[in-house]
Amino acid sequence: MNTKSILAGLKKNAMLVALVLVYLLFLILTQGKIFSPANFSELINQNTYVYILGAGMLMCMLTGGNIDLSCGSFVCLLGAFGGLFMIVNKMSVGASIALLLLIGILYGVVLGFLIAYVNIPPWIATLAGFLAFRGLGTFILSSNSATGSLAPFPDAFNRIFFGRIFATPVGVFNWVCFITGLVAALLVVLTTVRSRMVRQSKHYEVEPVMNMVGKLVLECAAIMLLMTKLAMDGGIPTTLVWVAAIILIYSFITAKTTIGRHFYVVGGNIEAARLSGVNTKRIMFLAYLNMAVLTSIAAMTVVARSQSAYADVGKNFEMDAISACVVGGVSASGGAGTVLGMVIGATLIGVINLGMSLISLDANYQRVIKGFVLLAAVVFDILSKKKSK
Amino acid sequence: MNQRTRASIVVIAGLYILYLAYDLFRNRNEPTTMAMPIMILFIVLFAVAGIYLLYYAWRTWKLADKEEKQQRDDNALK
Repeated sequence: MNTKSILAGLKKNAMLVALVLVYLLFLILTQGKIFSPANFSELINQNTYVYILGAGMLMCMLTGGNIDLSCGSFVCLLGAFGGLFMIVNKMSVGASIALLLLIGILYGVVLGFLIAYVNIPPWIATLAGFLAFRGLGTFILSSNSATGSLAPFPDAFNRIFFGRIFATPVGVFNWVCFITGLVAALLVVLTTVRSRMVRQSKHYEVEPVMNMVGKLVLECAAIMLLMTKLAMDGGIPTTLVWVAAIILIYSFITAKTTIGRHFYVVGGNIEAARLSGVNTKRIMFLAYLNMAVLTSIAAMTVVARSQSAYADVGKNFEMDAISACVVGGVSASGGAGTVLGMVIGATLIGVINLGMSLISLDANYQRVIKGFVLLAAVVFDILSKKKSK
Repeated sequence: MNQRTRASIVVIAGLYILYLAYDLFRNRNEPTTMAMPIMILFIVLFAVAGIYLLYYAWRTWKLADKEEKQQRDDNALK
């Protein structure tokens, strides 16, 4: 392993390296507070919506840099509807969840149709939602509550979207969580080794064994660190289950399915994709339908966490999701638009947000740092592209 | 990632950085530990960076259009 290959590896995994360095920096600045079990849980809970919305935003961006500006406001509207169903009208939790998902699907169908088939530019179609939904949500909340917010949501709802699985009191080691981590680490090892064996049997190029072993050690260490910390903080949060499920599903779709590849093809060259027989309109439609459904899920996790629906919920969510995709988009494996990249980007931004709040950094400095992180990611991408030319 | 997609992402980043500059300016009278000259410096820096990114994205888009036109002309000649 020479210097050149080490540097190439670092460049390929630039955002992952940045994540580790930023975490170490905040470890020092917070005097170890960020490493506590409670803050591991907080990192996941605080950023659940970024991971979920980021997955949806990634699919939209893959179709050619398109975005959804309405997701934050739609979260507010769905929160208001959730409060209306469960608190004002005392509907069952199951029926309310079904209705909220249905509203998401309906919005996704309308939005997807307008963008894919009526050819309205996505930023205009979603800007309308950005402007209208918060107003509508605020109207619903103020019509049904003197304080302008609706609370508390039923315990059953909160448990589904902000509970813990096989919860134990904080301070009591949760063995279910720890064993789940072991199983997850084992699965990662088995799938990686199997994938390598399949590639070798087909005489494809494979990375050196030591590279694979090194990566596996780091991945397993990260999984066990996370699960051990969560085991010390009462167990697996349901938010982690939602995030893990969505990340796994979308990683599979984007990497292993035909429709997933179609998203990349449409974003690469829409005309060539169309001439190759890809139904580009259907892909655009699906991107926005998918985004709306994921926004519904994100809304439910956010509302369950805050245990209330209020007018300011969802502010800047779309920018957080976009930032996660942009920052993560310059990371590993070819750089452009992977679910893993988005996860790294979201985690990096989450660590920075959590670290800054733990050291009680002034709000203006927080804005400045967010700006520099995004600027650094974009400049890095531009310079990498120039160098490769 | 094709040039137009990259340009779109740069536009998004540029607009967000401009929004951060605006946000800093809008909250300039709020109580803060940041000295006013430093705040002004960052506002100007972000505004310039945001505008440059938008210009870069526009240039990239124009280049993509030019290359596409050239490719179409080359294909027509064949």
